[in-house]
Amino acid sequence: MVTRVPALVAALLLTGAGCLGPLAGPVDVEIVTRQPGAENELELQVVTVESAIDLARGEGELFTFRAGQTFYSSPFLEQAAYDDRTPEELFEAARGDGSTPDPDLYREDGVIRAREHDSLMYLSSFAHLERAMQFYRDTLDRPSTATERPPVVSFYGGIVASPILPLPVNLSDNAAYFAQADGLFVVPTVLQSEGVAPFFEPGVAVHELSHRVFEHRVFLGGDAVPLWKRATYPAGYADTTSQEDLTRVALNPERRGFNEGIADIHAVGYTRDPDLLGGVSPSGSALRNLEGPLAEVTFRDLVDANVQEDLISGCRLDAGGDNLNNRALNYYCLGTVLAIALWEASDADADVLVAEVLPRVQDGLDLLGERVAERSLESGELTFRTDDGLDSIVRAFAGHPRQADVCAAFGARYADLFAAGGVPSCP
Amino acid sequence: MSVTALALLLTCAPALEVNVDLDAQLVGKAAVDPGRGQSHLLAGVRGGLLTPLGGGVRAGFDVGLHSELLPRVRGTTRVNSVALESTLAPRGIVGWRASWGPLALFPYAFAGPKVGVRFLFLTAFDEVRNNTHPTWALRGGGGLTFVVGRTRMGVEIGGGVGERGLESYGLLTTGLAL
Repeated sequence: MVTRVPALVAALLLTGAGCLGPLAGPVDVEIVTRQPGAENELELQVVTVESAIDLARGEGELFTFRAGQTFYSSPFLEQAAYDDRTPEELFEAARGDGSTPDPDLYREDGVIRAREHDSLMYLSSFAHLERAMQFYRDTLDRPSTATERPPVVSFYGGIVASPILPLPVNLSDNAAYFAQADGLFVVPTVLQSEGVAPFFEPGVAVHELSHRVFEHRVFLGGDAVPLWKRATYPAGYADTTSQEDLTRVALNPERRGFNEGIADIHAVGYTRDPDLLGGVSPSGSALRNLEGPLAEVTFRDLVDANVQEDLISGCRLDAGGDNLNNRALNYYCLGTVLAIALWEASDADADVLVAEVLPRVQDGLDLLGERVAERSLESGELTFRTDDGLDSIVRAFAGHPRQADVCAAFGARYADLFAAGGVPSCP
Repeated sequence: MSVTALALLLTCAPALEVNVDLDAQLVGKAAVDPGRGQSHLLAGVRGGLLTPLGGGVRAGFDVGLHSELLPRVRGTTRVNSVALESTLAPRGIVGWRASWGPLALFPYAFAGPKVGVRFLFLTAFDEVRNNTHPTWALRGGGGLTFVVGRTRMGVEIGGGVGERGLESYGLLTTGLAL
């Protein structure tokens, strides 16, 4: 009896995940990802996670996962609190409570596997974010503060308006970068039935990380920071600025659309599939497909709603109005036009996109940051213009043989901006 | 409880109370996010023996067999998991019965282990994987039973620790004293 008790206790303990011990990289894990090569379909694969400090507890060299992590959209209500703090201090203040993740894992044949869906989502999103970081740092050779400073990744967390108003908005069926806390969201699947949950698609991790890169390169590096704060935390400035102006700047569709286009084209560069979200939403990915219904649509077509009926409803266009001031606009459609232009500038070739175009797009974002700062200081509010974005990217191609292709592709999609002299770096 | 102790109990008890109860049990315990928890609704039956020890005090044991009625499904049609859990929980009970004719109240405390099986099926594209594995917990708590004649109704709360960490539960019960 005495000798059997320790064995019994051991057997009971072995049913728990704790018996795996710390899982430091390199560690082989089974995740949902794309097959390498021509098939490029989503499937279960074993990959090696390199950067884990303790994978079973969400700790990594490149980021930290926190289960149920809350982010605050307005950590403070007084303008002075924002004026007095750096962006890094505001990000810290915008992060609320979270827990150490406790995924249900087991080891089989030396591979860490998940017993159930949410734990598989956890492993997959960890691995995909690691690879997204490596894509920027190694493949594109364009590290930035966004890929050097570890973000917090909220796993199945939510957004709360403010610490003093702790009513959570729980996210579902999506994925997100949350600029206020400089963090990322892996979100549970609740309503979605087709396809796979977003973070199973490796391109989604690259897309969301690209938002962080955009924010850091364009807004956080220079003189536009005070005006970026006003656009990012509008609740703190409501006493001194009209709600109308704060909302207009915060929800600027040109800025958001451009940001989405940059994120999409980087995701396509990683996955090598222009139908970026085909695996996530087979019936609903058309408007993000670079070879889909927006393939022949220009920027002016969208602004004037000069498109077929299904695109008017899909892009939520106001048939009679100026859609750059349409708050209901599906700005992702503006993003797809940009991504299509960059795809065409790459001859629809993923190798060209990754080797030649995307690194210079990154350089262009740095130039765009300088231009945004100049415009914003002139106007007194965060000012983003599509033609500034295009011209900055073209300038980054100076002296490169592909600049002409970029100018041609941009010229085809943004003819009215070219005609108005908004992209002077193109001949 | 050893055979000897059970024999003593049966021979010394002037009256035994045998109960059969129907339970609805809500268990909250850790998922990937231990702060969020996860609710499991189980239904089942319990049967037990209580013997009076004098002064209204009763002690005994019962054994509960519970199972989730509805599988928990997470994910989409292409990647999802389905989970069902069944448990067996023997436990010791001690309480104090206050009677007024056919009416009685019986507050009590209990403690005991729980063992079970979690039936887990992970579907990823064309592959269905069985991840069924045993579960366990050590639990304690308290409850209050209302007795009217032979009919019993009650509520119970408890908590403990298991292979997935801390868990807590609440239970509604109804049944018969035989």
